[in-house]
Amino acid sequence: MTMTRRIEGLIAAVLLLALLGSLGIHTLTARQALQWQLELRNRDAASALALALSQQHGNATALQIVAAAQFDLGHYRRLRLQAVDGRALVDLQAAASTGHAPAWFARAWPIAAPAGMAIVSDGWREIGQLQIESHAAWARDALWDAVKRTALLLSLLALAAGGAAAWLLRLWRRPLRATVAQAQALEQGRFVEAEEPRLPELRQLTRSMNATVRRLRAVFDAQAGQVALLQRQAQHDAVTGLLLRSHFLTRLQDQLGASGAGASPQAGGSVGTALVLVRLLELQGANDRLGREATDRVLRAVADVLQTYVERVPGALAGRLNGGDFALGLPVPGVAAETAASIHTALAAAPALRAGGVNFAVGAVDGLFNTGVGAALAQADAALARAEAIDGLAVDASDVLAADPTGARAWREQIGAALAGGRTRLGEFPVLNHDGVLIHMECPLRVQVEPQGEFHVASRWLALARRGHLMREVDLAALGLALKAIADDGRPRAVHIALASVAVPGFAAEVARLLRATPEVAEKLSLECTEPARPAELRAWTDAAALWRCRGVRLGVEHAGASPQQLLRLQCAGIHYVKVDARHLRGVAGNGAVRAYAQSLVALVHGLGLTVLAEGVDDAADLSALWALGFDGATGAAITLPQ
Amino acid sequence: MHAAAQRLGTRALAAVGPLQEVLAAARGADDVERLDLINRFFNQRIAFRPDAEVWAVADHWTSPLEVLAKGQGDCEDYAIAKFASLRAAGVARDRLRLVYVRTRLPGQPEDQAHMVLAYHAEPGAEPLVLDNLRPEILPAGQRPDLTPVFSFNDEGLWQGTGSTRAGNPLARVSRWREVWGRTLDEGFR
Repeated sequence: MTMTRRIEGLIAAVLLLALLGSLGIHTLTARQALQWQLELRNRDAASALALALSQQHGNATALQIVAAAQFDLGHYRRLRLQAVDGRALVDLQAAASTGHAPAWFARAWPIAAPAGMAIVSDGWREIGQLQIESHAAWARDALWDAVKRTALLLSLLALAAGGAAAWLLRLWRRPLRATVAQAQALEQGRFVEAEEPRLPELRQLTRSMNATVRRLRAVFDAQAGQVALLQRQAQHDAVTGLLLRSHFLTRLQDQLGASGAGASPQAGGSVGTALVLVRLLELQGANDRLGREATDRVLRAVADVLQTYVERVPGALAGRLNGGDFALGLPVPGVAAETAASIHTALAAAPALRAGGVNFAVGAVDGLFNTGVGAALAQADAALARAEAIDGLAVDASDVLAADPTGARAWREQIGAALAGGRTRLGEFPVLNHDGVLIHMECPLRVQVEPQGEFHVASRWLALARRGHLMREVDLAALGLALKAIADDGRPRAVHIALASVAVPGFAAEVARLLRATPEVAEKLSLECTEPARPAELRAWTDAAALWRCRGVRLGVEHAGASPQQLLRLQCAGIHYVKVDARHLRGVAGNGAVRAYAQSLVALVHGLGLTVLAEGVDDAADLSALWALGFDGATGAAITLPQ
Repeated sequence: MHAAAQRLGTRALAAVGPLQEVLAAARGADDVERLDLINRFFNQRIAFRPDAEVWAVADHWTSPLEVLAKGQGDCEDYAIAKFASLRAAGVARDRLRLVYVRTRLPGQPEDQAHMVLAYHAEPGAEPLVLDNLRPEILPAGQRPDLTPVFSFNDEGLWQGTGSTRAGNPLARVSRWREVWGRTLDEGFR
């Protein structure tokens, strides 16, 4: 029984006891007073009548007349005059009157008073003793009425007191529930702070828990900062701070939208990418001539120029490919020539390059779309080769077809029609744990853009769907297919939910409605989003997560790992698992920096009480390294579902 | 009785010793001797004075020890003190009556209200009269100056509602009941 239930019971018991006790005491007191009144009445009547009788000079007739007159006019039960020799000179009795008080009440609370007695004499001679008893029915009725009235009033009072107590309890129950909810959240590993209630005991408790939560958060924040640092070291060049070649290429590939099933929808499929290459010529010679320190300054000067674009243009990538080769990827079509020219100007003016007499070339290619990263690099390389031959700057802007706005619009309309017409299916990629047990099937949506055409992966249509505000329809389509598939074969499935959809008013509630319709299916469903970048997105996701959690759905974040600090906030939102993006883990078997990062990330995620999964594991050596590091599950080419 | 006297002051305390001696003597005697002992004791100890002079009120009923403490009292104070003492000495309730009488005092133009104590040796027989105006105990037939009006005793006074006495405010509803309650509390029983 809960504490509030007990308090309610206690209040009810105390009120009932007080009610019955008051009623009992009142009845006793009232009965006492009535009996006393009755006794006095008997006595006074006896004295008065005896006085009158004593003046009748012992005349028997006169005695009888006076006594009868008194008896007939008054309210007497019995009147008896007993002579000194024991004879009854007068003995008058009336039938017991009944009154309106019920018989059980009269039996339970009898009212009796002794008869009034007085001496009747004639001069010095004593005639006898007079005894008078009054009717008690009126007293019983008075007592019955008083008890009824008192019971009614006391009941009303008790009801009012009970109502007030219930109201107060409800007031106190709210902060109590909030405190319990916080404690439960803590137990589940969600570090939420609660508002301090006004009740002193609860306030102290909540204050202590809040302090604990803050301390834990500080610890995790510090750990997350460490992880971020390690990630930076693993992916960035130590001298210039730019992305290392492999990481640059992985992310450029995502941007070009030609990656496989595990494509990142976050960055994938921009319509047209510009790629700028910068090459420092004869770097080895410069190194011999200037020394290592001056060469590093030159490298950093180039990096600084490229970094300004990364800071200004969302989605821009800058990397050091090797030695003196640098690359800048811009997810904006039609800016390659301009960018290449201004980079060329900036480098020509850079003091480090001028002082060292280092020559360089800038080549660029524009409008890259739907091509492999190798082809893109080759195209840019060709431009660079031409640049080296001429005055150090060349732009290949021939392929701008994909940026054609009319083609994009037609494609977008077809996507909308496909979603509306149900021309969709789910891909299936198993996520297994170390023992080969299925955690869930990752189910990205495939859309048959052209009727009777092929089903395209997300990278082909996602960016257009997003621009066309079709994300809600995309996610609902995937969710509907996944629910149906789970109902068919009972396998757990994971579906991606775009942050853009979550932000659409009513979307979260609509999903919750779908989940409520099939509760046993919902328990096998996982919903995952990418790491929210803006506070508004985080808020929307937190609200939606609260709505979905209680339907038994598992929640996760995918393509994670770039900003470990976000994980703590997502954990408070109530997620269950973290899927780490492939690019953070590639080469974990051989690269110490990547391993150090992965190890600390696992420690952080496990510390938060969450499950950690690896995405896009293509290499068997990487996979065993990840198992050794404590990953709870993985997906990718290295993973196959045991038959 | 001693404790009650202590509360009432030194005169009551001085009187209570002799009273207890008289009561002790009376307990071993017959009714006639009891009457004589008690009648003499109170007639000697108490000087007659009307209530108006002693208590500054028209009529005041006083318990025996209060009367002894003052050393003064009027007719009903004598009668009550003698009644209480005789009851305490063992005289049956049936034999004792407090009697309101009319009397013509010498030199007074009108009848006066008065109270005496009557002793009935037999029910219905002629009583003996104990009167503070006449020191000797006389049969009623020898007191033509007294006309009895009404008589009473403590019959049934403290039955029924139990042990409530002077402490109960409800008990102070009649003079007789009140003074009799105090008398019992003083130890006359």
